[in-house]
Amino acid sequence: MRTATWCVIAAAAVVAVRNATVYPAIAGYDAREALDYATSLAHDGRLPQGTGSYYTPPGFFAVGGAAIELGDWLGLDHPERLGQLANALAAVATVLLLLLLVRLIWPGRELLHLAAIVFFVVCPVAMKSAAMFHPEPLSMLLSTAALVLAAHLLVRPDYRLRVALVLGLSLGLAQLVRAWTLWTVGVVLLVLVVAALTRSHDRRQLVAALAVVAVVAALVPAPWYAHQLETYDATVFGRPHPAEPVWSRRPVGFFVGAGLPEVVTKPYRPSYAAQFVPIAYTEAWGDYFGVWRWGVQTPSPTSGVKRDLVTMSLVGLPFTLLALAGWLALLGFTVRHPGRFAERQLVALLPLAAVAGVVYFATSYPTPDGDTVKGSFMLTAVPAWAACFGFAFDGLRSRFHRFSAAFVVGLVLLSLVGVPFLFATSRL
Amino acid sequence: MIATAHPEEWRYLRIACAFVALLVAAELVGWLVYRSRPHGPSALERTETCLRREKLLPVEPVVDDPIASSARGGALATRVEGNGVHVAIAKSDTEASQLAEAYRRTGRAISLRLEVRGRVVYVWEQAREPSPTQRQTMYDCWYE
Repeated sequence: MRTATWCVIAAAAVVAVRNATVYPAIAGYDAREALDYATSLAHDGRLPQGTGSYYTPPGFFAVGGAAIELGDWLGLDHPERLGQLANALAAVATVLLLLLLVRLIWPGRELLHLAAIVFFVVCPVAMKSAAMFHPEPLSMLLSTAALVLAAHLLVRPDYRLRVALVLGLSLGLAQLVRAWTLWTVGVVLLVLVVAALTRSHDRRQLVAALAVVAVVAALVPAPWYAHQLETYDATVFGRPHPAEPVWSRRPVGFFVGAGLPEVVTKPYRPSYAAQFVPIAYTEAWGDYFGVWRWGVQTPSPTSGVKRDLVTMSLVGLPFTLLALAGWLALLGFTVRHPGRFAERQLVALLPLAAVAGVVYFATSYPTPDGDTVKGSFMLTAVPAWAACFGFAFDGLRSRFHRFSAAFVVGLVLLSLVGVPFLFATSRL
Repeated sequence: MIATAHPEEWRYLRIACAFVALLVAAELVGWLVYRSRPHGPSALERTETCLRREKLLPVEPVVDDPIASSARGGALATRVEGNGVHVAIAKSDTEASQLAEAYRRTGRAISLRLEVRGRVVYVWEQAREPSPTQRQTMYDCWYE
């Protein structure tokens, strides 16, 4: 089982690096803004002044800008490819961290580890983002690093100052890449608070570690927040929004609509443009917005691409439903037994915070085409979803152990069907 | 030695699986109920409202066009920048293709004047392609 896990990780690494050298950077999410930001930062050391992605912290763009400079120096035709390569490596490092995380939380459950890794690799949202010139993969890496460190701190337990400092640093750096990582900060701090309240025997060490983590996580991004506050009167996202109250900006159908049957039969724009769940689902498991298989030169998907998208919508269903079941089970356990297995709370609470954050954002800034519901906005939660899937898969397999082989064969077959979609094309 | 799930985990997982199954069933039932009842203005009504209120265009019923009149979603006629256009709204992609095919069989240099966008078929009056602004005006009021 361990060999299979490493084989999946190795294959994912090859595909991610290959995609970064094939996928046209300009086709990615907000590519023009991202490239301009990185170039301007590298050339002139200037942040955007109220234009483009000015509200996005400069962490990734500093890395991407340096990569573009290096690419120029090397005489590459597409110097931005080095930035894409950095993202591919960030995604590969995230898979390795995910393996560490599930090993820490569920030691010895190798099928759980394998299932979690397979989920992460097969879910296209991770591979798609890894091929782009975009901040999300780096924020996912830093967020997952924070989860691993927090789990290490709680499982061992290891309350040394060094561990707390590095955890605080990873949370601080994550905020310097993408504001979405704020929910990782919230989840880690909340889990540490709960642990401090429920572990009476080492409360003092936990409180000290918590204080160090909180202070470092606040100090590292403080200059960025101060700059945003001074320039735009907002620390996170200073864009104007409709004047009406937030709860009346979207109809009820936006929250409860499942987009049936188009979520399977027509899983691409402009289907169900005013419904949250189907857009998030088909963008995560397919290419709703047209950034991976269609959209740049072909304004609507060709019949072959439509077939691929329908296939991916079907492949994603068992993965998603099992991940959902695993998440709910972990969440239920967390609520009923807050003092036990505190490390599991990390993967139970992160998806909840991510969904709540994206729903709030999509509601606050309604757009007619669903642009504020991108699956990649929840990328930092994908490793946690993967862990939830692994937990449910292994739980079901253990319960129905006579069908173990059938579970594994089903997982392999579903994954093989989804694999071709993970390969980027140079023309879309 | 491979560790297995703790029996206590199964208790929570079983409830979670039942909840997910219920959620899926509720979505399916909700969709079937929604689909079986008429709700909100039809595509034709929304198109008409959009053309009248937002584009300030005259909207009339289609006359002397049996193909458009046969569209199951209804049809209307309007005029954009001097160019008349018939809008036929089909209930399915297949029906839209059938309507377009019926127009093509009439000949009359139809290929330049005929457009299909999703389930909506447009037939322009003037024997040339509609201008980009004429086309965009109609696309702005595209409902299916």
